[in-house]
Amino acid sequence: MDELIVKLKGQIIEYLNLEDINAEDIVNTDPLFGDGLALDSIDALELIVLLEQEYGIVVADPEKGKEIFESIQTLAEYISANK
Amino acid sequence: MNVNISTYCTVSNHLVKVNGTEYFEGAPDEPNFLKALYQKLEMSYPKFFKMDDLSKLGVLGVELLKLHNPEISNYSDDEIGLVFQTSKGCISSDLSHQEKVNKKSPSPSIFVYTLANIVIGEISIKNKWFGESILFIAEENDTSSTINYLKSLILTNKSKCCILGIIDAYDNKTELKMALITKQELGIALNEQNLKAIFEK
Amino acid sequence: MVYIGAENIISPLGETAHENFEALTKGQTGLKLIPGGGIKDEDLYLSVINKIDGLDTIKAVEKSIQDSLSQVHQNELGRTELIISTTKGEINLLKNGDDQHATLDEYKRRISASLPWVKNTTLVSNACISGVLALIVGHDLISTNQVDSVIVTGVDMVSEFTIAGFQAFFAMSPGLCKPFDKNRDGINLGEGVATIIMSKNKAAFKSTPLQSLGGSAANDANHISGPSRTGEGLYRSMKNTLKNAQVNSNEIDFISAHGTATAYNDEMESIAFDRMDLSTVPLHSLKGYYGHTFGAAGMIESVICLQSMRANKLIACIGFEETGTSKPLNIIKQTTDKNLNTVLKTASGFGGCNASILFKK
Repeated sequence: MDELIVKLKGQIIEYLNLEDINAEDIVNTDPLFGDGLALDSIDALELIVLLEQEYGIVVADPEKGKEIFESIQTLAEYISANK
Repeated sequence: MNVNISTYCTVSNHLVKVNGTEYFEGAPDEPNFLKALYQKLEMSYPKFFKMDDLSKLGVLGVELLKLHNPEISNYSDDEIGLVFQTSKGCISSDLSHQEKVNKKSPSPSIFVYTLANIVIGEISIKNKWFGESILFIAEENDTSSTINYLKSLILTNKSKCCILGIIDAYDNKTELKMALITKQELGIALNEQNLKAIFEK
Repeated sequence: MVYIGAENIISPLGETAHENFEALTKGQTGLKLIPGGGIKDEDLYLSVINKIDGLDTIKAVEKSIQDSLSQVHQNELGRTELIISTTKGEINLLKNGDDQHATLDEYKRRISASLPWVKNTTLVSNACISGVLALIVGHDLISTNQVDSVIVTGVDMVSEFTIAGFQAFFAMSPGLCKPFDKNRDGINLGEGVATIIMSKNKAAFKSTPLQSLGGSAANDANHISGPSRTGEGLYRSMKNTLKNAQVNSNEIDFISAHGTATAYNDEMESIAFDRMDLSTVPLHSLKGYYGHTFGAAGMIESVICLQSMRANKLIACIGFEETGTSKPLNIIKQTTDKNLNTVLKTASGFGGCNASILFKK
């Protein structure tokens, strides 16, 4: 799981163009949206693209993304369970 | 009252001038000139890095005008009109999106920039400006439509002042000509010849 | 005074404004199921004239303009400017790697070349408000006496380019779109061309024109793709349009809304209309007939406004069944007769842009 989390952080920074943010700055349980990384609705859709391209996981309903993308932790758990 | 050109700035490849005076020059081999200008302006706006080059350039241009003419912030949030023109628009984003489409894997964050008017949206968001705005497609030296409409906005009092932007960012080309246009007694009248003259300074 | 008329629409529903209007009164839609129309071969409802990436937009524009010109005395137009409204022109050319011809400045050049008698061509590309904004530009250029007349044409095609983008946004409905409805689940795409002529000279029109009272645009200053939760930009746009035209909310007989049938857009519009005290005014979206035609949308929908005013008829909002916005609106359920004197047309789009314009008899 830890390995997956490290990889995920790098991928999120790359996919979402999070300049000036280092992987170490992202706390596993911090919310990705709202206060945390302050991601927005386009970022949420981009994370769906990330899941499909990097992990072969298709999210058909973007509404589901809200739970999956709550934090790095929840995202990693979802990937582990669905890969 | 006349419609006059006030503060203006130009970005031509790596050279930045404000009111005709050099403000910044990026190294010729600088791969990320827009980021260098962002740093020079001491901005802190993470959203900047998500933008396409066209939007980045537009947002930076407005910061340059504000820096040299703080009075812009005296206007209320819907008194400033944004009247822009571009020749190639968002062709860079178009090409990136098409590449993704060919791979059957479109990216929402690229697709959204395949509308050239997004640059105006980004400027509006950054500055919390709710006023009139429009994007025309025109060759860099063909400013007649843009000027005519801008004048009508001021003459009909729909906008108290306007920011005129002539903008292009694609391949290795980064070109911006931007000016604050206001209604005042004295100054350089807004017309094609005067615009050309100040921007060539 | 700015007169407006000589309207045309070319769409799957017909090649004149009248043919299109007749089709709407009969409840016909241009939307049909296109098997394998999606990026991953999903079946999609689209309103296409020919096939995806198949519309010769330049020819269609020429034809539309010709039809409009046949409704005026050309020698009475005076100083005339052509205003084109489009979001992507012929972006399908990019598919073959032709980035030279796929740009909008090239598109503008090609259209100008096909209409050599027009002195000046202006192209407005402002997402989904392009059409309404082009009419506003025309109005303002005439009212400030910079030109005597304008020919405004809106055009966009259904392309793989656009389909793929909106699919990535999860914005496409798997079925027919349902503007303002409780069960709305996204947009359908469409294509078409529409032309309107505006002039300061009433005598230029062969049949009695209507009037444009002008309009206004405003930005949400909120998000580049998500509509404002408070309808701020649309509210400010309508407020300025009514103020500048000295028209009160209670004088408006009908609203032609944008109504894309996405959850957030329609909700945003309902809030803006409510803030303007317009929630009891009969209102429709035409997306259930034409899909979303982007740069042509504001133009096609404005032509139908003019046709509705001429016929004194309200066109039903097909796709709508049950109120589905937090602020209820007076959605037109059935095509009915009503005397229409003052009509408001609105549009909203990516980049947080909003525009509105008023037409009067």
